[in-house]
Amino acid sequence: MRVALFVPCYVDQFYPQVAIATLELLEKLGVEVHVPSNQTCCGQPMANSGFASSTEGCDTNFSKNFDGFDYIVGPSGSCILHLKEHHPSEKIRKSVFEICEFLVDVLKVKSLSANFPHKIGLHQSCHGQRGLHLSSMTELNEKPFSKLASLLDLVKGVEYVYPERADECCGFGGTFCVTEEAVSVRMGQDRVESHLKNEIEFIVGGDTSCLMHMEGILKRQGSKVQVKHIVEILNHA
Amino acid sequence: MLNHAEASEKFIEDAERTTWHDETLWFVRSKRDKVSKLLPEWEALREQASQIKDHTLANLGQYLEEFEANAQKNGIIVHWAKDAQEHNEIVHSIISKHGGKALVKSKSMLTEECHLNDFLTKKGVEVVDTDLGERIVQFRNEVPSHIVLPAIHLKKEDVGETFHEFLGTPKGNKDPQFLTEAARQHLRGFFLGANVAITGVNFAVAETGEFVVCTNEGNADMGAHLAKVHIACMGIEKMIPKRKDLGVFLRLLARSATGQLITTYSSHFAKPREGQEMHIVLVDNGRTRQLARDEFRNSLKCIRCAACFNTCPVYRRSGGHSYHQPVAGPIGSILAPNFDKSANVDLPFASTLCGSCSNVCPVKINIHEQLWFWRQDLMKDGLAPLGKSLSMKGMAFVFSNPTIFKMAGYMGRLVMRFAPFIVNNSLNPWFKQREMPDAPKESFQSWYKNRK
Amino acid sequence: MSSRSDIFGAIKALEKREISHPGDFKSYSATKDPVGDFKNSLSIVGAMCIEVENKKKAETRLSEIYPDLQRYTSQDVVANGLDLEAVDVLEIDGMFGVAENGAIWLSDQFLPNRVAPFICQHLVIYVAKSEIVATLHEAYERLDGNYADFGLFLSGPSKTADIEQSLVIGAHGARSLTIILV
Repeated sequence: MRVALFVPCYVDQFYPQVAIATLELLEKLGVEVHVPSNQTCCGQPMANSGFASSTEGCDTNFSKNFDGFDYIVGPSGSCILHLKEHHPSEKIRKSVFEICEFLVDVLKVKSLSANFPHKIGLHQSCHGQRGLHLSSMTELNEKPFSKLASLLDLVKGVEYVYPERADECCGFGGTFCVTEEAVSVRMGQDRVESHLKNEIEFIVGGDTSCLMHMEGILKRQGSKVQVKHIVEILNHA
Repeated sequence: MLNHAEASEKFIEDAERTTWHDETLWFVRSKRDKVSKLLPEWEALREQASQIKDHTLANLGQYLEEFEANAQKNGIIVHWAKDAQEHNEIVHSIISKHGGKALVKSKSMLTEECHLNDFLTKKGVEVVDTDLGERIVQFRNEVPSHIVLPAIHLKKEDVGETFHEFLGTPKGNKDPQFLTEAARQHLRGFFLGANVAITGVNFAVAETGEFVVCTNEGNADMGAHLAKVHIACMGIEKMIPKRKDLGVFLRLLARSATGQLITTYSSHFAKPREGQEMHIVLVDNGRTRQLARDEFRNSLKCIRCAACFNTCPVYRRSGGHSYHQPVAGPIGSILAPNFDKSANVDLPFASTLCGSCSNVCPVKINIHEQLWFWRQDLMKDGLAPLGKSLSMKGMAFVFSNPTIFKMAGYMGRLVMRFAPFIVNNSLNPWFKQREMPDAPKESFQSWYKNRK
Repeated sequence: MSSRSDIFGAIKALEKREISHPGDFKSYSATKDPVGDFKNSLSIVGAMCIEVENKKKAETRLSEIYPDLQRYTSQDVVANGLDLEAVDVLEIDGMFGVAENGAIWLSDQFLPNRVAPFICQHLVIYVAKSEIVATLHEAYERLDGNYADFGLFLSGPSKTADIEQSLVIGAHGARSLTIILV
């Protein structure tokens, strides 16, 4: 099983700790992880802005870095969804996995040595949830489940709660966060507020982009509550 | 005209009203969730409805012909209009023949799309909208902000003031019960006196040549059954093959729209009553153009329930008028570019692509995917502002070249750590109401290189 | 005729796509208690429900509910919509009821006038307990071949929530609906 770690561009630059946690967690679980060094971006920022036609260079670079692997695993539902839906290579589309999806569906992880004695608010990012179906969706008449929650169940000490409107979007939305600044911020403020009502210490999710957006709002409000990617919890000793 | 982002910013300035708007519409979505979950076959019903509509659109010509023949057999006069202008002229010519000066109209999004009211008013015909919400916005010289709840952008205080001005209700009275009663009395007079009634159409049944109109207030029926002439206006996509298909759609429509089990009145018009003239105007107005587009064809499946409005986190916080179109919300954003690409270039971008709209849609339109496709289509047509095209090209260049990407990232983090004022200022829309992330001293890749 | 041929021309120019009709929908669960479900639905949609052994027994109950109002039946009413404006309470027959949503099928055959159930102030509908179907699918089965010139499913009294989503009963149609289950 040849596994490569895909580190989304902004995670690489601004949230290296998320990539480190992903790498360490996979290694702890006995996976030999390759990290192609010339990877950049999945191409989503351009495509979601209407410039999918300009992602050729990006796609080619992605293929160059990841072509030979059975599994390409990344800590971002949104980037993974983009690759799954739009990367020109079928092999790539079939090999990409969001980290929680990989842990639950491929590795079938049944236990973790993690410990995180805190109360956290679980944020379900839309692309992971509705796009990759990492958890059930409140709009549908379906059995409730969550791959994220099932992993958190393996962590000692952690207490997770959902905000009211369990799967409402946080308002990040890629370039939406600047082109529709007013709505984006208002959505983010509302989301943060409903998490804070639960008196949590951390907002935890599977997409660093959503977390970055909510972190920006929390910090501006001077809140002590922090954001963490779920792998940071799953990897927490 | 303000674009969606600008209009939304204005809407959100009134934070309290935005909260109210958001919560009120969320409540409607919650009611929808509740009733939909009481039906074990809910998802199967959606699939069924979707398949019936797909089938109908694939055979639209045949069903339109069948409907026309059966409607004519039933004694209904059938008209065809290729665009809004022709639709309005047909309606006006029918009115002229009957010498009516005032007519009653129940809710029809098609007539909003065609701007029929403006057209008729200019011709000297008074149009009286009889749906309570529509009457309220008509008094205020506004347009509906929601296709099912036309006056949802207004508070009862606003309605009280409007009724005080136009109906002489006591100043300061804002009791919904009282105001509704005032409207009932006011509109009864028009119902009893009108020669012509216009209604929309929810479903037209090819098999029987009948059409179905759904309301809660009973205003469509009050108008249609009292007037000498009934004109029903519909887009050609309202067709369904068989009467039994109605069971599927009527089960979905009200549950999706308001969380009701069914609308109070689901009226099936097959033949005019004795002495009455019944017309139906079938309108294209861009629908055949949309039908030809693979990516956007199935937007024509829409049954106008507005579930996508109520669930949309953007709509709830920006209000219907920010979409500057008769049909707002997610569905409006994929319908509008078909009418005018450059005037509506902002709308497919008025979304985070969260996908909730597609999940609530009773006919399973892939709304959020179509938003994405419209983005590609509009940018390919060169409708992006210059700055955006340039920054996209720049981004594409950086991401295609790993060395440059690493250098750019390094420089970016350097700037943010040692000269944060370059990004932390009013030119950066991110920073206006949010802090920038902390810039770590090294990237993951550089950490990884050193780890070995 | 030119717009008609333009529209059909545009449609016929499209590539033929074979997508078949999925067939009639079969509802998942048949109700064990159609009358009970129907009564429950009636309360949700804001209709009053009275159970009686026969039509005559309804008389007492109705005179209690509408002590001061003149009641009319279909036979009383002339076939002119405008005169109905004066009708306070109208009693009519419904063909059958639908358990899942409290709707009752009314058609030309049962109505003195199409506008009757809308224009009267209060509406009373008689439905036989034996005539309750589970869902709208069964309802349309029942209506198969019965093509009324005009017919409707009526569920509850006229209502609106157009002012701040506050539910108000009695928008334009009947202010109250009483169902007599016989």
